[in-house]
Amino acid sequence: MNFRIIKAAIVNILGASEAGQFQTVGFQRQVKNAKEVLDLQRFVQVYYSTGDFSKQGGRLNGPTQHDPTYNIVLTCSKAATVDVATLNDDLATAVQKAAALAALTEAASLVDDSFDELADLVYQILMDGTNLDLGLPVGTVSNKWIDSIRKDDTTPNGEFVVLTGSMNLTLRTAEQVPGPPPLGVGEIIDTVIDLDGDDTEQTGVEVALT
Amino acid sequence: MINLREQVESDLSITLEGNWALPVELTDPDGVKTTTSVTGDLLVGQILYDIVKLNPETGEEMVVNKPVVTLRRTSLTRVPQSGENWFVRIPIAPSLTAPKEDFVLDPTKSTEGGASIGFIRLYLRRAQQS
Repeated sequence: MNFRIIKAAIVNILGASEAGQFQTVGFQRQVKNAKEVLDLQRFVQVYYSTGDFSKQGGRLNGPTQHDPTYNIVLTCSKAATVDVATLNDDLATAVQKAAALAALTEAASLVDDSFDELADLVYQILMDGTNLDLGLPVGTVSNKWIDSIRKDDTTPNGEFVVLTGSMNLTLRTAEQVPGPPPLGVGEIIDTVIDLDGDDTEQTGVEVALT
Repeated sequence: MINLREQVESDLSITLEGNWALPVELTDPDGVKTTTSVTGDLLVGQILYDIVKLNPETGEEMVVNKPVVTLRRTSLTRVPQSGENWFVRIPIAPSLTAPKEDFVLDPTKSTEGGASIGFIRLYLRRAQQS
């Protein structure tokens, strides 16, 4: 079905646009390490979430209107930042070290900015005019739309702060119904049908038993 | 007869600063670095590296390190208070000779008392160069 091809296209487009800013994952990672998504190693997970099939939008044997929704989950983590070099410098004065500590930036603030930046990036990539058809044949996809961005609360997970959120990408496609794929070819019966008046005896039938 | 609270506080020299202890370096908000206790000995404490596995928002499992340092209050010239910015260096592995890494006090967690017993628990946040 098209929704699978479309999902692969979304993953390909995001993967090609990473530019070291994030990592694209085309499935739901169940367990993540906060260090694994630190800084620019942010995760963008893409997976098919739901699909609506309108009875008014198709025929029983296809094509059928399918409105798939793809969940795009964003995961970021950050550490706090401070002038570590000054704090570890034995030659630095107490005043300099105090100033360094006072200028500390909390991880929660940094991860919030990191998430916003990532959501901005992903939105721009997916909604860019050059990706109108997601690299697929014209007409495969229509009504592409990101209808929501949700940001969760920061989770202080030990030495890092983790922030997750998601975007919902919906679009419309037409699904054909060619039937289930063949399971394989079994015994083949190849025979000639003896018909009256058929002098060439080239009428036959080939039956593949599955 | 010795007061039991005094006895428990005295026992911290064994439970927190005995053979289980690891070295801790503290830099207070005034920039004063401390590597020794009030007695002049190496400042040591109990350091634990717990693994937390929960993201309450999504229900996903997150694997993290959660370093927690527990120190004897009477060994400190200045006791960290909640809301203060402290720089902390601790070994990243349970070994006296392991290299130390940089942390700051976790601003989302108050330092835990134990004022009635005499210890203080510090929750740490990883620090990177700004």
